[in-house]
Amino acid sequence: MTQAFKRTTAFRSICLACLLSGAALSSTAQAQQQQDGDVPTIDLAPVLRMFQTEDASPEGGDEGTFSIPEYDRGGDDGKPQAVTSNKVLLPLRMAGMTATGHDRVVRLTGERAVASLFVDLPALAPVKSFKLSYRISINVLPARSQILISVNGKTLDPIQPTAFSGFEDIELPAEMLVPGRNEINVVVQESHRIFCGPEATFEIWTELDLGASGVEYESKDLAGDTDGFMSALLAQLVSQNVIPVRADDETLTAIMPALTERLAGLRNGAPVMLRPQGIYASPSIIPPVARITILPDNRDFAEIRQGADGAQVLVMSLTADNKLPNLDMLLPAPPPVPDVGILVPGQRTSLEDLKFSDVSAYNRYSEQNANFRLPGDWLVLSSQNAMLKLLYSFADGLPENALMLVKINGTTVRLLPLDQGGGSTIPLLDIGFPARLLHPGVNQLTFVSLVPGDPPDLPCPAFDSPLMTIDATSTLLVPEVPKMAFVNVSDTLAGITPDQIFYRSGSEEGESDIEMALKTAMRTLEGHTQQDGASLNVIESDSLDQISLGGLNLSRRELEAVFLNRRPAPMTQPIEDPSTRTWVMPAFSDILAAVGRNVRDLASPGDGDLRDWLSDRNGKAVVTIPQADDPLSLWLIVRPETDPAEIAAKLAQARLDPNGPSGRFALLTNDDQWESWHDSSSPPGLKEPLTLKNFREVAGNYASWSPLYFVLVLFGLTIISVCLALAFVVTTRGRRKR
Amino acid sequence: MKRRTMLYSMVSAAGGVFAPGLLGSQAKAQYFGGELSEPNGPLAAPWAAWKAAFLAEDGRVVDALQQGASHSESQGYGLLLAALLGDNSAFDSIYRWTEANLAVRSDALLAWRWLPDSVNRVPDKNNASDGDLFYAWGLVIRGQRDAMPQLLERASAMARDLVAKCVIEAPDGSGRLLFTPAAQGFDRGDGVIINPSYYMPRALRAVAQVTGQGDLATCASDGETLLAQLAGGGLVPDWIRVGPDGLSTVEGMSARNGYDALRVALFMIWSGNANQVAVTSQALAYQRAANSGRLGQGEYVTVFDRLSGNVIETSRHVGYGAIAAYVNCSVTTQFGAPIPFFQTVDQPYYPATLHLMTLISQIQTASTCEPI
Repeated sequence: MTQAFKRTTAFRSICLACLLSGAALSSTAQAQQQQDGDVPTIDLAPVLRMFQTEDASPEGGDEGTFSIPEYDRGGDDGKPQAVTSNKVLLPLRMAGMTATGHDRVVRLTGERAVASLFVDLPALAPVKSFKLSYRISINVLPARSQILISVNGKTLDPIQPTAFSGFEDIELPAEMLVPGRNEINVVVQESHRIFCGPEATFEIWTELDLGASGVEYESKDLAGDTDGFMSALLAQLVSQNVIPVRADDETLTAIMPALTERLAGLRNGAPVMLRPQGIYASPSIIPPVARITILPDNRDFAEIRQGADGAQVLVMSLTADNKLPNLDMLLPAPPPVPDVGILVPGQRTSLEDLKFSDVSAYNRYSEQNANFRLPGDWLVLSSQNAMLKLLYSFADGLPENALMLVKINGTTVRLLPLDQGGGSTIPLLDIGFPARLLHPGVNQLTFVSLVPGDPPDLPCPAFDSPLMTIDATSTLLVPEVPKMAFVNVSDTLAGITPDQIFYRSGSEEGESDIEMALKTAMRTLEGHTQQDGASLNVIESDSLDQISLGGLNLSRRELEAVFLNRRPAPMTQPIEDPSTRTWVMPAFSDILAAVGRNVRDLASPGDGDLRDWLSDRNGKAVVTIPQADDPLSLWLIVRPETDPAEIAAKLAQARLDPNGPSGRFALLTNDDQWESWHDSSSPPGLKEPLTLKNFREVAGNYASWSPLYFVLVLFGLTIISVCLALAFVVTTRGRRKR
Repeated sequence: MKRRTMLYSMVSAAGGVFAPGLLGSQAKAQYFGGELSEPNGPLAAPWAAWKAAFLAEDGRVVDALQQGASHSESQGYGLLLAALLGDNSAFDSIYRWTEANLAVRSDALLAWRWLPDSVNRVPDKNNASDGDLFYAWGLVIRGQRDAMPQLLERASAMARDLVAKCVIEAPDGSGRLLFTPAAQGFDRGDGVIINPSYYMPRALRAVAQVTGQGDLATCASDGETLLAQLAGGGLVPDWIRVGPDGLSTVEGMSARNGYDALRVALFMIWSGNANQVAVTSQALAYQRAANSGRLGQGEYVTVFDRLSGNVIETSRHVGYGAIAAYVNCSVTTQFGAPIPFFQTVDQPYYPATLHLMTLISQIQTASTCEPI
């Protein structure tokens, strides 16, 4: 066929060469063609028709018009593309606070408040802007208020706050920033428009939106190095709250837990959510600033590159044994979460050593807290005392009725006047208080100062010095006691490590969002070692078949009701049945019932029956130890539609919170408060051998736990003693007679 | 991964499906071809997006930039994609529409264009050999996989007529066979006009092997030689004339490395020729353009000056960026390529289709170039 073609082309080629140059003359036909399609074509029909041969077109005229297939491929770029902003914000962060998501706004309340912020910046990248987003309460008097900002120790000119109607940006000088860690100190000094005093203090505040404050860059300016990638990751979390992880399903399943642990340090304990994405997935609506791509085939490498969408990409491939490659240089493992101060029983410890730093009170109402941790097996139920040796001072001339309350876990143990003797050194003050106010886990010592206005109906006078100062060398001492403990979620929770968190969905789905959130939020606490056998089992409240509730004497339905948004109001008054009404001595039966309740409380201390305790409560998460004989097995039950990141953040923060979950059953209410049910129906367990030395304290704890049982035991012992004495007397009397 | 490796080994041991003689990456490619055709294969989402954007219910693949026309190229591309991705329903509809509307020539080839708004919707009976080739390739893949002899017969007829009408001996006396762009209009006496991007060696060989039309396989080999020769003097042009005195540009036709020629490197890599000089020179041009600092984020080169390598035209359609990233990756030892996410939003038929082909090629022949 090819040979035949060759034979016929000789003559035809010559003629075609001559005539092709005149092809343009076929303008009429070409115009018609373009009218049809507006596609640039060269109509060769007139020429071709003249020179058609059998082998070129065996069918002769049937083929009609011929043209060269050509396409107009360009020219559509006038159509707008999806334009996205390339600016990325590296947010300001606050040490020890998550300040992300819903909690990203920090409120500074009172006449003077301080926020210590920081931001880590990559080297070389040019800064687009540096800003602080804030707003103030309507009660703030701008003329007598100011915001003092210092950047890396250099103080800026005071700023008069005016943002009443919404968040506004304060533009800060970018030239004061340096590569690496930058410390930004914000001091707000505010005055109420009308009043002065403790109540007015609550009405004046400044809020900082940390999610909208920070340093802006062009995303393309972030270098493809470790600093640039870390910055991009932070910006990604601020802008989209998740980090895309691009990998095939098999790889994702294998590596997600390890990866979540590695990323856990990015947000000060707030969860880091990862969003799995297929290698060939569709693009995100909003292009990411950073992502992680895991390539298959276990090539054991990691590097930072730029994706086609401009994202900084950590590209890696797993090791031969399906582990993460060495990421220490690119994505360092996060350090442990700093714990609160540790108070060792029997050792006098200064408040400074308990990490108490908020020593000065400037506000008419102020609370200065010292949170500290006691061992999980420290338990005092009896009347032993603890001792606070307090050094403090306050300003001279404070108005009448100025006072300070010293509180232990919310209970006032001393009231100190601040209206006399101010301005001079006050001798060391011994403040003894019942040690039973303390409990295992995180406790709180609070200094509350209240200074009335003078006069209260005018703005407070300007001041620079503190109203009251606590000397951080003040010490706290709690007694060393035998190791005893009730079943308690707090101690186990503090020691849980990410690899001890398990999602029990009942299905074979991969890692759930809640599990991922928990594993990134609940990093190991500093100084806590992993407890062998401990576990945090996570389920949703629609999967309660995964948990055995028998140990709590609670039915599945009763527990499910806790997670309902609304539940019937509990019945507080019994319905009186007229048919059984007794007209004789009703008061007597009430008294009898009250006595019965008191006796029952004496015999069975604690918070009563769990069903009754739950009857008027509901919430979004529960932490519990269902089986008392397995205190290391914690269960977290969450309401299905609850934001996993929020729950994880609350639980992680609760480990450092004196009001966090304790007891055997703790409920996170809809108001984000932990309420705990203490099961004291079983006696506290002694965690060391009973000896003559510790007998008294142990007996004291048992007596305080259940006075009625203790009395009954003593009564029994007394009876036995009497019987033995009687027996001795009876058996020996005759002998003496003889 | 273990499953993939195991199956790959099995397929390698079995000798492949379409071309038992293929080696190395090409044999591996055939396994991945199998994976691609699974219902939830890796490209299920991109393929669904492609269909939603460009495939009409009746099986017509619409090229909006050509006034909503369809052509044998779009039908051929669509049929091939449907075959590779195991979408029998889409395959059947594309096949039915094409046979009813473009198979109007007296031979087995397809008329090259169908105009929806024209009274005579196929006013031009000339064919386009690349459209015919991809169409036949799609028929071969589906026909073999599902043992459908009628499709193989149709492919054989097309292959026979392609050889008869579009394969000619080069006038330069080299004895090489040329693959002309159409049956009519490209043999101009003083030389033969060639579109280098019409050479798709993998398709030519696959069709040749199944249909027995060995000239197509010869065309593939001769085409690779021709492309190497072209790339030795600069980037591969859109059009070139092969005359008795050698290669020369064609007056009135693009001698740039443009929208047609950008397929050459893709097709060479897809055919297992990543080391071909046409690929390396194209990669070098892309790298120079990227390093020049003149390209903005999301801006991709579509037209180079063939000789200087200067950028003449760019586009924001990510499909062109996919080709560039893929070509660059295929000539380096780096793992992973910044291939953009597949999208059909703001991306017309041609770059989107090439984008999807790039992803298929990456899975089949360049597993180290996964998108990052």
